[in-house]
Amino acid sequence: MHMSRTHAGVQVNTDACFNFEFDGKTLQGCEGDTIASALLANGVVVIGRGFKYHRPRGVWGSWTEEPNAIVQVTLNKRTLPNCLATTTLLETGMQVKSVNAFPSAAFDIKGGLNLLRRWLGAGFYYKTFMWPNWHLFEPMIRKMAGLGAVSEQCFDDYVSDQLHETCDVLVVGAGPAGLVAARTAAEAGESVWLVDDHHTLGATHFYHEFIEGVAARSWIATQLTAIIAAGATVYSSTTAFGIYDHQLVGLMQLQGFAQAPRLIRLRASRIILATGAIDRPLLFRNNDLPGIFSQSAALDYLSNYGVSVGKRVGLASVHNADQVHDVFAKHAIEVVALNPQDEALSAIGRKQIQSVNTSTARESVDALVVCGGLTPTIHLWSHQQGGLRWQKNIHAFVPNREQAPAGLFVVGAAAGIYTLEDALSDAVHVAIGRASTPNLAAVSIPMPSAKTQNRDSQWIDVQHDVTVKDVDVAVQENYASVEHVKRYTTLGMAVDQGKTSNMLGLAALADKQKVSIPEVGITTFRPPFVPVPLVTYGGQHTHLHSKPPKRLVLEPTHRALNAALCEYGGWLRPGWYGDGRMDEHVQQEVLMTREQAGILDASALGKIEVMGPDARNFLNFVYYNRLDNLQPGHIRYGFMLTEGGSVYDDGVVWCMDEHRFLVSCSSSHVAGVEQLLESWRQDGNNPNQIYVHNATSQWATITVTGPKALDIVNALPLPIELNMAEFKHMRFLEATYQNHTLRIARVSFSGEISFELSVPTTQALMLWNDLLRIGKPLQAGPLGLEAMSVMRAEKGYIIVGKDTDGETMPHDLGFTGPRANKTAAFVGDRSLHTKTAQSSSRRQWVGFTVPKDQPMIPVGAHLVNGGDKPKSIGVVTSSYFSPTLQQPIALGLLEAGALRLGEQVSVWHMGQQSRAKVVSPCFYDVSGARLHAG
Amino acid sequence: MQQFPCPFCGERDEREFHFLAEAGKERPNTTVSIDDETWARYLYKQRNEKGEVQEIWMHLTCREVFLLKRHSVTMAVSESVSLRQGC
Amino acid sequence: MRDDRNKWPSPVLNDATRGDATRGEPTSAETETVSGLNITLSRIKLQRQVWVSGTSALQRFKCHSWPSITPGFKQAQAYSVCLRRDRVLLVNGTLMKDGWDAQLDLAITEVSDSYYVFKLVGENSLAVLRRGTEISLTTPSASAMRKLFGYDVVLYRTAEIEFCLHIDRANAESFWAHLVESIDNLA
Repeated sequence: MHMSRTHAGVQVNTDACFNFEFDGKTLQGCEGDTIASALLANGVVVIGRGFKYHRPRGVWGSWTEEPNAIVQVTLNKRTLPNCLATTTLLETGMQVKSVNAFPSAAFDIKGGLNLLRRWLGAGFYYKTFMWPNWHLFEPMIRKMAGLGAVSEQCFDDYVSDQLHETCDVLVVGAGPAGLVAARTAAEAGESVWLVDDHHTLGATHFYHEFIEGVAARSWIATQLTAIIAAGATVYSSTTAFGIYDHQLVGLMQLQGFAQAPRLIRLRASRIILATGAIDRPLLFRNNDLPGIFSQSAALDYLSNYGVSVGKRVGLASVHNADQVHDVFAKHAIEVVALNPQDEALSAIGRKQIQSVNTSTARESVDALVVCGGLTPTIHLWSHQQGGLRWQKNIHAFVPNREQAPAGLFVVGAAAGIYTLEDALSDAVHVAIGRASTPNLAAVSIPMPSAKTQNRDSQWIDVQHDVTVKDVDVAVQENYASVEHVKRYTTLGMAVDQGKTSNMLGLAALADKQKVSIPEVGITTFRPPFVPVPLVTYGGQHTHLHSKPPKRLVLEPTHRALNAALCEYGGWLRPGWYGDGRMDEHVQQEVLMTREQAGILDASALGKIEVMGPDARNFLNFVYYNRLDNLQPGHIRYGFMLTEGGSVYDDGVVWCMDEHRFLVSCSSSHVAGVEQLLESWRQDGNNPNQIYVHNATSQWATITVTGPKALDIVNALPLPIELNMAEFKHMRFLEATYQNHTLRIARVSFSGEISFELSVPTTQALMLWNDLLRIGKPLQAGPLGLEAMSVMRAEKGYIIVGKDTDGETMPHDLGFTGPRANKTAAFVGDRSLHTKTAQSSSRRQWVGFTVPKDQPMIPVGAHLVNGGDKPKSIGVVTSSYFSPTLQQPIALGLLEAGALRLGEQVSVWHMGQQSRAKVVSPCFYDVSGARLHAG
Repeated sequence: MQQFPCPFCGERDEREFHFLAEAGKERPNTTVSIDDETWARYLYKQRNEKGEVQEIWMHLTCREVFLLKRHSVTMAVSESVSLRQGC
Repeated sequence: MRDDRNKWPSPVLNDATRGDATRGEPTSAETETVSGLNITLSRIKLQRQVWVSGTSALQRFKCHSWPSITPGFKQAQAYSVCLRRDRVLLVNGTLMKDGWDAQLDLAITEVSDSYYVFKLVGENSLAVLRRGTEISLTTPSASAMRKLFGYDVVLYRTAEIEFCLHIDRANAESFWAHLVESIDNLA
């Protein structure tokens, strides 16, 4: 059999033809063809194989309802594995391959599985591969399953454009009802959007030769012209794939093969669905053979693509059969009329249909066109939980207008209105917001049930190879709910997501359970209506735009100094300076700082100003530590807790004056702390007496730390000279530096004398350069975060979130004072006194050492009690080789750790056990002599 | 994607908002003795109602904390009320 | 920690390497510019930016909100933009002392160095903004604060088809890239 174009068709340009390949064979297609229409025009009928039994599969439909025709396509060196042949526009040079078939769709080696299908029915995998363990079988099954091969290419430019739009009225679908609705609304002065997923608008209508007395094509053209003239926005190739809360519609706009679609988030006051209806298959023996087409697809291929599905065509249809007969006859296609209700109806053929058997005869045909009824396309209506009711005369669920979601309307065949006149007049009423009760009783469509014989050869879901018998088995095995039957049999899980199979499945289930279809109910429709590439939802937020770090003003300077830039708490910061091995640089920077001084960019530190008459009391409430007695010029370290009592952040608070405080929280928590402060400020406090200004980005901070820090700072051009006896640890002062305010705080994270110097951000480079210039002859230089991390670990200082988890309370870290003594209320206070908080087996902050010649303890290692089945009693949170002490050190949380100092403990990591000694977390300058030097 | 009315800014889409708590939770006075049950009720017990709900939300951009009345099934928003007086 | 110096390209927007900044002088006015289909994006410098918070802040300073056109921008005169129920952003105003002003009951913080400021001019300006959020000239808003491409920005209108955007400098690099990519997508 070889099909070819009978005429030009409306959508294709037969003057512009080109080559493409299918399974290695060169074929010809035309501009406007889909892959499916071009294959059919070339006489290719077998396009793939079934998912489970590898039976030959052909094209059934002509658009998104297609359950079978998935192909793998390569164009311009880009391969996509799962292209729907019926919707993908053909382009010059496309290499099309069948999927789930080897070596090709026509000769598939696994076709032998078909012979085994007696044993591979519903629930086969569940029943067979449970013992001893599913994971044993999974790799083999996964290898056999799946459609197409994922390409290993990464398309860097596959990034979706996203837009937000609004309109008064959105009309989805440009069939006759949609066109009339759009025109009416637009001419009434509303801002209207009309979208259709087809590549050509108005091409979906092929049943009627005349509409309102005018030739259908010219009627459609007239409507489109009027709609555009009335100012409407009209898009083809645009799918409304989902309706979300508050009338937001997701529109996917195709941009061509292997190009990321555009996502338009359209907020519409009213949404009118004119999404039409989809042909149902008929159930009879071998109804899955290639060469069997839906009635609407056969008409679509004929009228829009000029492709006839056959020369002698069987027609078994419950709806509009006469009309179809006439259309076929006009194109000189011989039609064999068949009774769709005939119990003996069956198809015969090996790779494709060759003849049909009826109760009276055997007819030789080269194609069979069937229609088992129509299913209104109500997906979008259901996304918003629109009510449905069973319309008996057409055997379909239709939208119940009395249970309409806000702003949602349905017209035309999607509303179950199958006569053109009724559909058009109803669409006009709906478009102008007038109530309308259309007559749905004008047409009757029977619903033939599955034949009683050969139930394992009547296919419901052709791609997932689900038969009527599979549904029977599911019912026998007591699966009663439609949702369970769907999952047990995989019915409706083909690429069309049940657009063709859903109603047949419901009918088979109802039949077997001897109840009516409405009693069985319907499975839930969820967005998206068609597959949407995940990148579409992400838009620009991909690659380097997915969680980009915050950037420092001094980044170019750090780069010039050869800094390694790493992500710390959402910031890109210098980890160490220099190329090559990190360890060597870190060791060197630690020793430099301990002996001379290090200069660290600490600009990411939080700088949140809290001002107003209630500022002091407010901070005293928000912080664990007392702040009611903090004097101006003084700084205090403290914790911010959650109401559950766990440590959320640590930082220092400066008292600038009685009504002004500076919260210097950790750099990774600035946004969170600011939000916490704002929510406590407005909920439970007087917001008119407290103001929170997050000025983190206004100030750059450079820390000078080490024994030479004082000399370096005093060499800056400042009007004052720092004197350690007066300027004690945890104090700050303000000075003028090059006509700008300079804040100097004496706080330390390294354990050495440190000064945090803050200037307005645009002055940071000047200060940095001055400090490096002054530091150089003193052997002081830039210091990265890694070395700082080592030094703080030597001092036993925590990093919240690294050394603490969601259960760590301040007293676990040795900060017990406020819990015992603070009388004012504070966030999390009551939670510090629950039974859990008082437990003697809480995990407490300790240090660990191992002998000098042993390897470091890995971070994340568990501390375990002995025995055959070790149980975790703690975890190692930080571990370093200390250059200062020349030995490995580690920190962690250990059950009742404070009572175990000096004990040996077992460390478990990746199945290996070793020993470590529990020690105090402070390894260096325990007396604080260096820190408090004055 | 929902739209919420900030009592100060007006309609904005949900990406600008953050749920804080169910409305009506008063922090117990922790300067006096409170039993575990009272504290747990404040800290953990959620009504999680189906239907009309009253919640405290924050408009992240302008930092307004407000009362939002909405329907947890239909997602319809009925009202948003400022918690601020004298402003 | 992983060394990502090569993963992240050097910033396009750059204050620190300009020579004049080392002498503590204000940098020059007009800097980076990108043009596209009926649109120009450029970075601008404003003389001074200050946050003022308090119950009387909105009444005290004549405050502009969306989508009214903020006067004074063209002439580089002082103007104020409403951020919150109790906060305004004063642009090009007189020098004010940081801290709590007990006489006026106002909290004052200079933020001139906190923000990078961008200007979008041209017919397609709104189409670029609509790529970052749901926004239209017909939906008014009392506050100029918005999330655009997920970032907090101050956005206001300075002429019929001209918009001004303030973004926290730490996020400016990535925000700028979003704007440039959106301009590319207009074609």
